[in-house]
Amino acid sequence: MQPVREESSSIHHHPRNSSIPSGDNSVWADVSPLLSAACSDLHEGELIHGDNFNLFAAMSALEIMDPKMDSGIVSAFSSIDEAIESGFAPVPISSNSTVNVESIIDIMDHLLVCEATWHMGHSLAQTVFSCIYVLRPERTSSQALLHSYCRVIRATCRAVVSVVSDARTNEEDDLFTMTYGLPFNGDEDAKGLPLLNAVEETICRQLRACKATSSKKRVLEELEPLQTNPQLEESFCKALLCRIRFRKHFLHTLNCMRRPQGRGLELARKHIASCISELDSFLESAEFLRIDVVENGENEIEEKTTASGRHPIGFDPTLNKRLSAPTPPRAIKLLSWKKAIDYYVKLLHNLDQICAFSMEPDLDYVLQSVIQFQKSRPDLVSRAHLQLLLVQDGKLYGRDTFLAICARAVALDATRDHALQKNEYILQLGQLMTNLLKILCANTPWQRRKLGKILNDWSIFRVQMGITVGQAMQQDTSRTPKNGDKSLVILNHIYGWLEEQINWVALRFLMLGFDLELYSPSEYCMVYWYIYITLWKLAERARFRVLIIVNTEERKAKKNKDYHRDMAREDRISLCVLLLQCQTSLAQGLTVMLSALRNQGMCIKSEGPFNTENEKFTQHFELLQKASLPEYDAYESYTESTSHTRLDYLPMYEYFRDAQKIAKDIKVGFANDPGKLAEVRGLEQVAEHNIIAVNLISRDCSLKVSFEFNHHPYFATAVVRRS
Amino acid sequence: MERDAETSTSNAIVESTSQGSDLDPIARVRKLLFRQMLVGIKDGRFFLGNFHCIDKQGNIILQDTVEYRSIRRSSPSPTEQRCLGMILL
Repeated sequence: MQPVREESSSIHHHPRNSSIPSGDNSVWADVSPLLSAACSDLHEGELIHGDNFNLFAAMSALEIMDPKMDSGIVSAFSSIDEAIESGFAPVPISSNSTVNVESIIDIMDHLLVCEATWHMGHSLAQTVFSCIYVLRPERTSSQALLHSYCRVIRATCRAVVSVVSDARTNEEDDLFTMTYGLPFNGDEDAKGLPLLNAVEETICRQLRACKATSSKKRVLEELEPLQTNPQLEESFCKALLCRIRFRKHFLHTLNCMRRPQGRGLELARKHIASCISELDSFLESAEFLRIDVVENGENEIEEKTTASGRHPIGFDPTLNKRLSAPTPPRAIKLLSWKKAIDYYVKLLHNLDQICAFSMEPDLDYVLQSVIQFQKSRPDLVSRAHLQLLLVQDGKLYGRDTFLAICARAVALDATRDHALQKNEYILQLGQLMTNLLKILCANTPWQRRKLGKILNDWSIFRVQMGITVGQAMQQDTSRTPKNGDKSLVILNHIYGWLEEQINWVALRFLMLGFDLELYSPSEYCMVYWYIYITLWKLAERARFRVLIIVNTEERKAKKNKDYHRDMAREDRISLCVLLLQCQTSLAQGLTVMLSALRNQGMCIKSEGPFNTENEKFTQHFELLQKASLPEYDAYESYTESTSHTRLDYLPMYEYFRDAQKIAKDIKVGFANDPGKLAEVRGLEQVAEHNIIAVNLISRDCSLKVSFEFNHHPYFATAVVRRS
Repeated sequence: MERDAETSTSNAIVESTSQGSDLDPIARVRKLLFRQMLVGIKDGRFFLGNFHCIDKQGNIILQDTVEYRSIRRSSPSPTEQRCLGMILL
């Protein structure tokens, strides 16, 4: 509470409140003197309040004139119209055409910064729509360049809001899709792009005219130059052209990627490539634009939001302060121009990765590709695009039913089985798969939380399906299966596949814990133990599935000479199984090593003053245990298998050597997949270094051992030092 | 913080306050609780809400408040309003 100035002169400020009604049968009466008198009579700390007054509830009151709580404080302008009337955003910006062009370029740069800042998680009202030219585009209709540019920005923002809203990933980033009170006009904004094309044409011709020799110049002189200084004309044209082209290509990219079933992806890649090359031109133009701006030092220019370093005209983030909640939006810091360009480069590369998806109806490929995509920590906009590509209308890519996809994963063809589409388990499976893919496209913390939650759903589903399919199989053995009716076979195989899928989810859940740094070193032992048992199950089920696929495909190829066997896919899945086996061995090796160190006091025990080891175990793995992963008592099994390991026995275990061998063998197979190849190399390094570490520590108990993730983000390497 | 305060009263209450002029200021202010109070502040805005609490420093709490502000600095000018809930002035 702010202290009140004890001024009785408060009375002479007569409010013009004739427009504020006092209600029926009542009039306003001035009580200022009464309140003053009462206040002076009150004791310190005494309040006048009613019976239902609650001091705690009163603390939630908005404090007026506190900038953090009062979004209505009248600052520079009371409203947008007042700002416009006071000349805050003139049209045209300047009568001097050079200054005009410079200012327009500054506005374009600042808008780019605003847009990037908005993408990073702030509100449109405070960023892109803090520009009066964007808020009121009708004002600039006489200025083709500024007008069309603003319209295209609005259309772009609208496209991005639409993608993120449809993907419904905005639960994580609530501010992003808030467009309440902001004027969007779809039809008018759509006219911006053709207009911008025309402007680009004009400037292009102008650029050619500049570059032409003086003899040819006479022919083209009917073109109006951008500004008055002929020596600067060429550079200004180039600076404008790259900015205009970037805008165009970016909007085209978004439009192409939105086309259903991935039809526009190839074209989108061309636009993305153009965007990236125009961004290079941005940086080239920066030096020219800064020429006559006084530099105050290298650092300052790095932080500016425009290439020239000048402050742009027509932006006021406080104008829209009141458009959202009663409380003011939190203070935001705009990115610098350089950082905004870096953001766009990353965004465009992520979008390109999405466009490069092969759209194969292969579940293994989809899951691996999504995981690979997430490694670069893509931001909200690209993740929303990926989600919309993958899941549309309850189908993969909007094209393949999950029944067909899951059946294909077990080498069965369910495309002709229409009755099965309506089976209640298949419908539920579709929902589970849709949900899973959406979750895999989310940001890491949210993803992990949701993965943990759905484990139970999948587990229950599996149990229920198991009962139904089991009963159906029993009844069916009396009859010979009809030739065409493969429904029960498909259901049975899908049921068998479920266990693998659940363990896959569990593994991802456990691994993401490393990404989020949720495990302390004293807990690595139990974490690797759990990873080991999960990986072991997963590898076993996956290997079994690969055998089924290979057998089925061999039989089909023998029966029908024209049958096309997808050897590439089979090889890929086989390699993935070997990769899982490599990881299983590593996890085993790490568990044994960590438990031996712990048993002989060289590692911190995971029992602390507040929690027992059992409690910590439960805290980490509760969700898995609820889903019956594993079905036996995990903690008991963990303690039994790790309590007797000893350092001097360590070299006799073959786990790291097995992992090393497998890694060497499969490197060849992944030669065409740089991402996977890098991972396998990392695993090999982890194995090699740990073999050496094991040899050292088994002989000398006085060494200090710590664990680092320098070769692989999820598998630790032991680092041994003399104490 | 300079401010002006006015409160709407029905005619009946005006009479009662004139009868109760022997009452001390605190008791009279107590009678004003839960009535509509209009407060103007230095930057030209007005707040209309139910009078909920006041303390020795003159800090006032209003409930279900509506904020009125003018769109132009010069007068006369149209006003816009929005709801704020519970506020502290």
